[in-house]
Amino acid sequence: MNQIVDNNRISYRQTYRLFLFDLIGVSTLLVPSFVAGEAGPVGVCAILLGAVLIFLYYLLMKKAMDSMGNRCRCRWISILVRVVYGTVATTTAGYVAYLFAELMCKMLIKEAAYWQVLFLLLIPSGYSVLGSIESRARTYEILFWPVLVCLFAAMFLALGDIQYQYYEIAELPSVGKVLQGAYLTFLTFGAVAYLPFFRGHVMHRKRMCGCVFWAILTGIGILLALYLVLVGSFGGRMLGTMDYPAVVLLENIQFTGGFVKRLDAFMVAIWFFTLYAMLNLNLFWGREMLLAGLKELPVRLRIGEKKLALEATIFLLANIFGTAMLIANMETFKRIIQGFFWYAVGPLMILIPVLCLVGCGATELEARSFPLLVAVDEKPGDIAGKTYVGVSYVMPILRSEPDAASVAGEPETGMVWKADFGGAMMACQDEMEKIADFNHLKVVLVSEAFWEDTESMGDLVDYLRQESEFPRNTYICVAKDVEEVLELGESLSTDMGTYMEEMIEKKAKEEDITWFTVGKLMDEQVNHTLEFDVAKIRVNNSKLSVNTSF
Amino acid sequence: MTGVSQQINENIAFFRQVYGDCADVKMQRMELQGLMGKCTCFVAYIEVSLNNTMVRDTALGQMFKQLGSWADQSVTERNRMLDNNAMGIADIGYYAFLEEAAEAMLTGDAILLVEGYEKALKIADKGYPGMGVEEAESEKVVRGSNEGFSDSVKTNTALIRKRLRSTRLKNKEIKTGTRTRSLINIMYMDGIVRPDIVGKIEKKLEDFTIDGVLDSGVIEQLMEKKWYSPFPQYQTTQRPDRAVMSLLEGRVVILCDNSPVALICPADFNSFLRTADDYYNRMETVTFARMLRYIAVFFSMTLPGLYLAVTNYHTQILPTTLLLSFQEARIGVPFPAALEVLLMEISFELLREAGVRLPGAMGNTIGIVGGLIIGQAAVDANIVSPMVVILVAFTALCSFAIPNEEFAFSFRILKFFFILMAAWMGFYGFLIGLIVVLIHLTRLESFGMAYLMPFVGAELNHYRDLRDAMVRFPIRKLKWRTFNARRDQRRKLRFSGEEEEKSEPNRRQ
Repeated sequence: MNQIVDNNRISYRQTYRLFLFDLIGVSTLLVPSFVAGEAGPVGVCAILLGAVLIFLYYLLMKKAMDSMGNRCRCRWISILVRVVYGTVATTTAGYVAYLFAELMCKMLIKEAAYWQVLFLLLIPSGYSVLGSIESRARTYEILFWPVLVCLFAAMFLALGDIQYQYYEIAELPSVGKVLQGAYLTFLTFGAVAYLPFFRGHVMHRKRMCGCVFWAILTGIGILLALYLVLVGSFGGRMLGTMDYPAVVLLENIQFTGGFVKRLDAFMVAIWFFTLYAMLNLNLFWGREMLLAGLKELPVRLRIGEKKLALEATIFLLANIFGTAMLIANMETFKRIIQGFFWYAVGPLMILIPVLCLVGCGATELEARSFPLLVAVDEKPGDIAGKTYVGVSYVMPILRSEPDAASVAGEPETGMVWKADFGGAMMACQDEMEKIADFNHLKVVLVSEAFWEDTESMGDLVDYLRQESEFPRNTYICVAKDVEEVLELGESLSTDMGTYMEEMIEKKAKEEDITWFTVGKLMDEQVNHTLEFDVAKIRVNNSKLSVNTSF
Repeated sequence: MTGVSQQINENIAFFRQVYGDCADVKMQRMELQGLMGKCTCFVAYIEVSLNNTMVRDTALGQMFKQLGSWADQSVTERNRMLDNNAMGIADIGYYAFLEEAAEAMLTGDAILLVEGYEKALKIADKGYPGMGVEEAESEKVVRGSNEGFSDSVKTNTALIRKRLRSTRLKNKEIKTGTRTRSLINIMYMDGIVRPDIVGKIEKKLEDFTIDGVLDSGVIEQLMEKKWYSPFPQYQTTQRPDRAVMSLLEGRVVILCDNSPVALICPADFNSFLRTADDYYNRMETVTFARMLRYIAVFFSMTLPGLYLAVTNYHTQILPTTLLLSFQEARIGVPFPAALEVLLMEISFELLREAGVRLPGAMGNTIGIVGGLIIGQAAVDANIVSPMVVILVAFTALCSFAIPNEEFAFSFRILKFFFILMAAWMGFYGFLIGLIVVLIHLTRLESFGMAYLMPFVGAELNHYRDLRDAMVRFPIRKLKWRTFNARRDQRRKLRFSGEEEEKSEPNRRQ
């Protein structure tokens, strides 16, 4: 597969780095002083407890991935998710922008006007977001080592100033204070809440979740290490009174040799890029929620997608600017926003996935479609040796269906072409109004070209193994021309899936053949032990026939 | 379209009408005498493209001689011999239409029309005057061939063919420019190049209709997707060995007639910082040079901005003695530091531009005059501080260390952006500038490849491309082509005893 730009896909490495940057910005800035103020050196326990909460939340989001994101079929829950996420994303972006600008004004450029610093910050944010998720991911892929090396260097150099007496526990904090510290740690790792929405941008769900897991682990590790260094450098009580102790730490460190006196101004770049990542994350998803909501409006917007995306970005940037300015200038508003995060965002982060899991679980029969046949084809793409994979579902038609244009066996979806099988499956389901229920799937019909493409078949089997959507006893058939086979559906007395299944089983009985099924395919991809026959479907004089070869 | 007539007078009239008032186009009617008969013919050519003094030794001259001897033959027999190229002329073309023949003459060859023959003959001769093969001006190397491309696309393709003697080296020719009819040659290695790229290039060339293409730079700008970007999306080279290296990597080389600069695509950030002799020298030498270039890239863009940020906003970074030294140097300088830096940078750009435009020795002199005399005079007059002179000089050195001139120019332009940002907002402005440039680079692409490869997406080629990025691994470790090549053709070096690899695993995003 090629690095095809503008296909809205990112690699696992990019996912890991993107998430890590999103997680460590605000957490390393705010958590140490809060936790130290609440729990002193025992704040490590608060952070560790927070880590437990974060991992539990990660597991919850992993479970809720199917119910949330683009595959949520419960309309009202889907709307609720978008509204809540959109609001939280925009508010978080505004707060992060405020933090960012305040930090820069305090530490870097005291003479500048706050609004100028804020405005200048939002320009590259908007520019980055307009470039899709790939642009963001690549930025952090490049910045990963420079920023982390600077951070580790700063922590390493600060080791020389550590006073071990500061690690002595003077008094144990109350459980409530520890819990508060853990809760804040949990809140600052809120980027995990976007996990379900990343699914459409990464190839395999399991590997994506693995990358996020490691990003959380790394983030917690960095936070813990930094906290210990800060406690050792400033002491717990002093740490609790500081606004941005991690940045103040940089004023203490000195390079040996003495040529460069202080590098605190340069080291602030660490938080420049990490806070920027957090701002960008929330701006990006805020815009995605807004655009998804606009698409569902009953009114057709007479505006192109690109222009709509641009206007949505500008709208959100204006919102963020306004929010940040209000937070900076109105203490009351600041308290309201902080209260919103503390009392509303946390519970919502948990409530939404739970609601999706519970609310989306039961789907009425009439809200489902039962594909009996899935057709898979491939065609050459226009870029770089790439092929497109097409998927089409063939459904039975119910007698009471109002759509008179549908006849028995006619696919409800046409062939939907995407870069890979997983993407095509998701896109195909997006095309449907009802939820696809594969429990009664009879046949997977693949084209000969697709069957012989080991890479594409490998993708398909990997997808089936991970998603477990298709029953294991579904037959795999191969046809020279899938479209030609599908066109015959009109002339059949029954739906094509059932017809082909009966035809295949009859042949198997007559000639004692063991056909490939989905389960056998998945097993033999690993075992490489047994050989089965694959059902080859031919069209002869407008009639279907099956054999072990063409 | 007018077919070539058997009546030569009609053909002559056509040519005289098309090339009326063209003093450089010579047309001559001849009656070649045989023993018993005669053969009337007509030759048209561009004045300097025909070797008049040695005509008897050229293919055209031999043709005249032979036609004279065929004058006694019947018209039918003579036509048959012309059809069969009985003269044995290797480079001969036949045209059935006069318009095509008239246009073909403009390639520098002669057109011959014979009485009774219904085709025009294009016979190669000396051709247009050209500069010939000289040393490449812009890409000097310490080790390696010194040949550079010339103005003639035919010569340039031959220079490539000389180094890449493979039947898989393909050379597609396209004419572009409605009036100039410039030849564009697309060269690629069949089997190594990704199959879609050549088609995409052809499509891009067909996407526009322009009067004239006088240099590869015109088609480069017309084909670029992000034309507003300061970064070039096509690599340029004047060196045939560089072009061949790119072909072997699976890239495509585009040659334009009358241009000594070839275009290479796809291009990525790293390819602009590689030179031809990176593969002729040892690993340690090349790695050191590459790292220097990367540092040079960074400083050529950011050093003046950093200076302004540190001296105006973040003085805590500097050691006290150095800070006081800077302060002392600036005493009496009437301009703010930002203006001082801007003035010096603009002066340098003026000097550079003047040095390029001035001929020969004067161009060299301006460097000495500008650098030593004007710079020193400016410091003595307290217009600028010595530190700024050193800063500008060092920045200039950094930009000269970048191998590709076009690429270096991008950073020189961005340097002013960083100066303004740092002057306005110190290190914060500098960081904003840095992130904007980085975002822009991440959004650039070249034929479906990210511009920042292999620093992004390195896993797509199993991290092999990183072996030839900032650090260059030993040649024996560079066994794989870059991601530009077809997946089944990535292996380029194998030692005896090494086994063939199985097909590569899927690496989809």
